[in-house]
Amino acid sequence: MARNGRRVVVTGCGMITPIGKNSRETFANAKNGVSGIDFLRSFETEGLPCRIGGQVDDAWLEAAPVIGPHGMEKCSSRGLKLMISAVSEAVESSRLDQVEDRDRIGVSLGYHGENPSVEDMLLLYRYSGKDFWDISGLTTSGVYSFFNFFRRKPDVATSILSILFNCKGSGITTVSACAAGAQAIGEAFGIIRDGRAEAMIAGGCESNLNFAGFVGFVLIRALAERYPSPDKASRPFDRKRNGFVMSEGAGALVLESLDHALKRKAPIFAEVLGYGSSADAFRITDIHPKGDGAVLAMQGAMADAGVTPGDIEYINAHGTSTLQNDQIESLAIRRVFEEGAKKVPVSSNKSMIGHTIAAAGAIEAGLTIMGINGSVLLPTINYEFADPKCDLDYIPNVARQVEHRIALSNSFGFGGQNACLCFGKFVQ
Amino acid sequence: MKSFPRSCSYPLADEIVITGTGAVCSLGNSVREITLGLLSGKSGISEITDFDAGGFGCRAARVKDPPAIKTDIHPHLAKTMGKHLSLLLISTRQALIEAGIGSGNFDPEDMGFFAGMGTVDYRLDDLLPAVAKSLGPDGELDYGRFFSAGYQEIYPLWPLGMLNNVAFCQAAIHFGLRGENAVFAPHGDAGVKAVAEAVKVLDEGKARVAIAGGVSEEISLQSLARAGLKGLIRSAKSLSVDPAAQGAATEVFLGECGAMLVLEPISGATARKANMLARVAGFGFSCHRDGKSGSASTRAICSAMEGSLSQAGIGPGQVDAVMLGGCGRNEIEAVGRTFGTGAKAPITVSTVGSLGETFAAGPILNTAIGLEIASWDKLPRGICPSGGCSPVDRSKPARFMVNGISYEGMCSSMIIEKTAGKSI
Repeated sequence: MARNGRRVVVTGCGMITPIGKNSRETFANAKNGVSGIDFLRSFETEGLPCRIGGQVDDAWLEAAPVIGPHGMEKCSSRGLKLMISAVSEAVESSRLDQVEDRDRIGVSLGYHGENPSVEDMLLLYRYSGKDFWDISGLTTSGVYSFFNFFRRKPDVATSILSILFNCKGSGITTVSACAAGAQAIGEAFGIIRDGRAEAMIAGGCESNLNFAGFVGFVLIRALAERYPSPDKASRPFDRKRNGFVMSEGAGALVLESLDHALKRKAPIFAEVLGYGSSADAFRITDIHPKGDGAVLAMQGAMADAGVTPGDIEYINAHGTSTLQNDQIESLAIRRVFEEGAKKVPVSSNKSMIGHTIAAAGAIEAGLTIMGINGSVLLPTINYEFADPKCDLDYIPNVARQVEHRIALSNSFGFGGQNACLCFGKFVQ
Repeated sequence: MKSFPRSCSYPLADEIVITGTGAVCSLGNSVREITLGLLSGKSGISEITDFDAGGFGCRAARVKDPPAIKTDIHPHLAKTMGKHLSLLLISTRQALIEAGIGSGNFDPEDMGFFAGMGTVDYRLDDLLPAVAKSLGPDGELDYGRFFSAGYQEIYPLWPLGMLNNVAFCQAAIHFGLRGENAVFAPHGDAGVKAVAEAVKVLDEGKARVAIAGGVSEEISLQSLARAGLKGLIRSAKSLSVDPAAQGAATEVFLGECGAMLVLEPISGATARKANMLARVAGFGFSCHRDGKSGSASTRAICSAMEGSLSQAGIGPGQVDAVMLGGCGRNEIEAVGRTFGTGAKAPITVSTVGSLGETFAAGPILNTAIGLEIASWDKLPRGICPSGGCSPVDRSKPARFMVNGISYEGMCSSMIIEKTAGKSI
């Protein structure tokens, strides 16, 4: 069905989120409208106006099998550990480890590296002089670990994944904020379609629930600050929404050329039909007020897939729960789907999981595919008060059992990078 | 007898050509100025004078006083984006001017934008006032003070300094580029990936023109510390890391650079009578770490080079020059394995010794320099100032390979074919 090149299918899916240690558990909880948002335990939040987030249970990570050479864990940020867990599940479900030719398997990761900790900052402060910061002294003294720098570099995570899962094909690291996970999948899709690889592990990960990752968003007032209880804070498209909820997690897909998948009798969960990306080119801190970038990305994905708006039966929205995003995304959907907009079910997984930044696009892609296969439209929970500017069918609060074949998954990044993926039920 | 990868190639529906180049680095603010500087034996590497890097005992190829480009963003926000923004803006503007593209030539939605962006670092002075205000009488961090007062000292948008894509997004705003886009990070391979993605998007008809290239890291105490700890720069000796063991054949210095290309389908370039500088003929990518150095292995670099030859539909004997990604031993060995070492082997050119390690910008700068040199009658001596490479006098190269090598195992290669000018 893809417009040109080879057909690309999804043969593996894995994730770890605040509502599940794997994709099956995450999907089941999402279907039941379970929220993963709670008071933060990962760092001291006393005095901050937002004290909640979506944390992955440490026990889940600790229970995950340790793979790779000894010492690798020193190089691994928490975000990468989450990704290793998600990729392990995806690889196992696709039986990718049975493929002997590893030269034609690559990794495409959306990630931003690890933030500095408060302790890092204090260390830097102690090594300060009158007009300079003595990083040289800090590094030569050995008190500042080499691995701190190593974990900051996003490509190190890609490289480690390539080593752990023995992938010797193209290794790509995309850095486009909240669109990174979706863009990583889109890039992997293009690489396979063009014949540059037979299979790609693609997805995104993020763990920002630390002071440095959190406080910037507190200061720009992007996070939800008014909530009766943590589980009620993320409320995309609801009139009382007042910011997003920061979360952590990882999502991974195994993408594969159809021929390759059929030849090795791999399970096929869905087909990647199209991918579109765009830039708002408007302002760093604001979305284009008419949603031009979002419109372009959705239209691009559909054109790439060779489908029309009438073919789309579900949209997994970016739906962050901020005033601006949800209103403008709704407007963009109305512009693309015109009179049919209100007939297309739209929901936001972030209502339950929160916003996992670079992981969001990948987790949501996985849930979209699982929804297609299970004929389930996941709900938007905490939808209580209609917003006249958000007037679409948001699948409020309760999942629906509806067969659907073609869906879009939106991801819009801070700075104005947009991505949209189009998935379809696999039909041979 | 070397083997080619089995099926790395795919037919391009339309030939993609380069119609503009732009670059800024330590040796100058244009491709010509940089090339002339290289050929006259100049080096962009000098002592670091505008911040105290004494503890590192090293030099670098910094861009001093880059031409200013006026933007309408708040100075503090611009500062957060650092030199990334000016390097990207300057090189993009040059490339667009050379391609003859101004506002109105293309619908912004038809203009793709792709870049490899070097690692970004948060600014310590954005954070440390908060720490200073949060210390208790014992000099220890008092979290009570930190969260009640300290954090409010922090510039709200400081996390943008940790996102590689923010300067890229600002450049998209500045030039009104709204089409397909992606940011890759952060080493030499990322620059080639940006060009490959641009070619793919143009080939699929998703854009009518694409701007693609790369930007290096900004040299700072943090980038020096990172390079030192990784063993890339010689100052790392104090940390008991031997650069020789890291696969570097020569001493490496960090360099700052922005380098961009304008790419178009030949049909479009012909229609608007654009000056066609070169054709992009093939790409190859691989990923495999050398167990010792952590850098791309010889095997991986061979695979990437063979992939690009395969996609271009040519053999090693049809390449006139190889623009090296660096001067690492693995790359030199890979070039030897792929092309042989006899008289018929292509010229190998490395600019790292003069311009420093410019990460994602490196292969794009080398492409622009290669095109500049290829327009001259003879390839002069002296273009390869670093050890391990053997410059020779011979006819100008018509077809050259450009490598982009990562220090984390990824590597990439592309084939550029010089064209005669307006038509191929």
